[in-house]
Amino acid sequence: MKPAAVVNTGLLARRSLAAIALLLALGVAPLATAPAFAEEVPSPGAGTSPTGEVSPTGEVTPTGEVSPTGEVTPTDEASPPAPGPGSGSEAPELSPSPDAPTTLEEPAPSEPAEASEPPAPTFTASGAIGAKWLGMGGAAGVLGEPISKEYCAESGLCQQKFEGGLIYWTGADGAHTVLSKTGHTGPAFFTGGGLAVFGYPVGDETTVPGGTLQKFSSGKLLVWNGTEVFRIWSRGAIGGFWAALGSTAGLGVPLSNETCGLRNGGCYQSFSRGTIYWSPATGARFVRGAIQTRWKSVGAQDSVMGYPVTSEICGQPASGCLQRFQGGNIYWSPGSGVWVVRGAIGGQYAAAGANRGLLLYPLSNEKCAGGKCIQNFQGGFIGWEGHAGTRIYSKGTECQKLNNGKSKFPTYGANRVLLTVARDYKVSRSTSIYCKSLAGTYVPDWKTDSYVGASGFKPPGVPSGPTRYLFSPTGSFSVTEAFGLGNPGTKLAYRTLNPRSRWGGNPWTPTYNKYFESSSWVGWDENMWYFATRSTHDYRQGVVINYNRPNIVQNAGFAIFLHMNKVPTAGCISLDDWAVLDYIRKSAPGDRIIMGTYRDLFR
Amino acid sequence: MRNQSCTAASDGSWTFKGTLVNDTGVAKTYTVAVAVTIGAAVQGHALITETVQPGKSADVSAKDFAHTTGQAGSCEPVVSAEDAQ
Repeated sequence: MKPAAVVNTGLLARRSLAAIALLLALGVAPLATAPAFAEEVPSPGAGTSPTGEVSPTGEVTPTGEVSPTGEVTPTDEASPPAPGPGSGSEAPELSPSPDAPTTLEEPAPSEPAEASEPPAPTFTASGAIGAKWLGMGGAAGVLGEPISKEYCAESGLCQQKFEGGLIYWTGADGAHTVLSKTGHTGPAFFTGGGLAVFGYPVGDETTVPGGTLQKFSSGKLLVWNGTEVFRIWSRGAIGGFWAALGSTAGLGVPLSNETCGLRNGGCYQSFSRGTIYWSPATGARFVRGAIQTRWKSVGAQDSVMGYPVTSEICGQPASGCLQRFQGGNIYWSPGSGVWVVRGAIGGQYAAAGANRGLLLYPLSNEKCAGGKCIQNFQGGFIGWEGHAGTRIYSKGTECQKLNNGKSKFPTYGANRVLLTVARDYKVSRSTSIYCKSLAGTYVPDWKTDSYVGASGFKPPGVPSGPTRYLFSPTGSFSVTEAFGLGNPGTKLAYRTLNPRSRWGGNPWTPTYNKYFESSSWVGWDENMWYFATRSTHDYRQGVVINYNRPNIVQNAGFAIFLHMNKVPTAGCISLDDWAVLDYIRKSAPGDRIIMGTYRDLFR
Repeated sequence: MRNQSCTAASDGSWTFKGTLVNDTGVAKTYTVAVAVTIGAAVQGHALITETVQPGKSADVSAKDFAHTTGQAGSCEPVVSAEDAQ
């Protein structure tokens, strides 16, 4: 056997002192390898040192292979051909003898201590470790002087301690440095548990975009992001996914360690360009940018959205992206922003082709109120009304003007608004659009043709006058009551007509513009029974439009109704029978009818 | 209502005539509402109330109840019946 180490003193006594000092500096860790240690530190494999083969028993053959870099010593003193970093394995048996080569020890948590009194022995470095040391500037470099001899374990892992860190060597991975005083990952290595936690380095700390990175044999990486050092477990789902995405070139440097304990056993790790979330059910996916911001704004994995089930999928129409989550999807495009689509509305959206269909991209999250929900898309709305399910609504009707401030007349928050619009004055033919509010947004329930007064509309504020002039009033009017020959089912007050049913049309009488009953038919009064039962059954079903009531101005107009018999009227709105019935069945007190010419109603 | 007629004279005055027939077993009070309209505009109207005993009939009429320009217009009666008081 050759001498265990190449030392420049050659004095056995000094070697013994140095070994003692080194053990003290190492914190006198147990010489026997702890089970945990053995488990944590992956074997470097066949322990072929760069300068000498390690026998199955751990002995270094004296005639072993020469290191690629040859023998290295910081001094001029000649030394025998170095067996390389395997010199420490010369005495593989663990011995407390300070003179014997020691087993591989866990470095002290803090920086390697300096040997003090008695005067520190001097060491040299040789073989691959020595070459590495010299390559880093030798004693004048960041590592400074060696402060231990080289130690090797049976596993083939060798190490040597320097003032500024350690160099580890294995046959498989070569020699790599862990700096204790400089750099970023090295100090974190020592404070984070060192060899037992990280294993030995399989690379030096290297510069990467956004910081530095060092890889260790355990699969752990230490990455400095310019501010802090975080760990990445490259063999874990998150670290593996990060690596698959291109490591630092992909999601960038870490901004946190992996953190677990999330809902349903989830974990996450933040990186400079996104965050990877993992859960047992969904695997590892990344979220980033606007989609991540939106996901978090709705409660992230703790919300109904749950974990991502895909990563971001870009290349969508209009340069958009989408990401699917357990409870819905998030869509983004430059022209629409970033919004969640989920639940029943999400199902309808998907059935309509989602962002590749006519609805294009969402412009809002869904809004819900009063048991109804609605979501705004570029190409329309999707509404949800409980048992009625979902429905797609067009934006191409005048109902939209009730949403965007282009209606000159207020809705007063009505749940439903009938818009009856003529293209101009003196025009009786009109269009009626039945708008309903879903969570505050008006959408068209239906649209149909209709008629108003045969003379058309009077301008806003101008009384329509006696019905014999056949004008309709312009304005926004409430509805509170309906009438006819039998209640079809309505929330409005409903009056069933009889042969005495009249509507007062004679001004300056107590019944003007009011319902009353009489056995006579006088003057301008309307015989509602007559109009309900004549062949055209105008009033078989009808609704009172609260024009000139309840505050009645005499002779300003009366009996403005919505009724059947779709023909030009004396001032009323006439619709097809189905429309009148549907209107009555769906209306409630407080609903409104906004009627007039297009120019008078809309900006 | 049988044999009903509603006609305009050359001066635009309208006359309605008809016969109420009660073929039920109880006395009925009939109300005949008749109006002449041109489009939506009511040109005139009349309301006739007549009680007819079971198995009997009664002629009813309304003269000059509406005026129009010329003879254009639509005249339509509506009859309702209630048990006589």
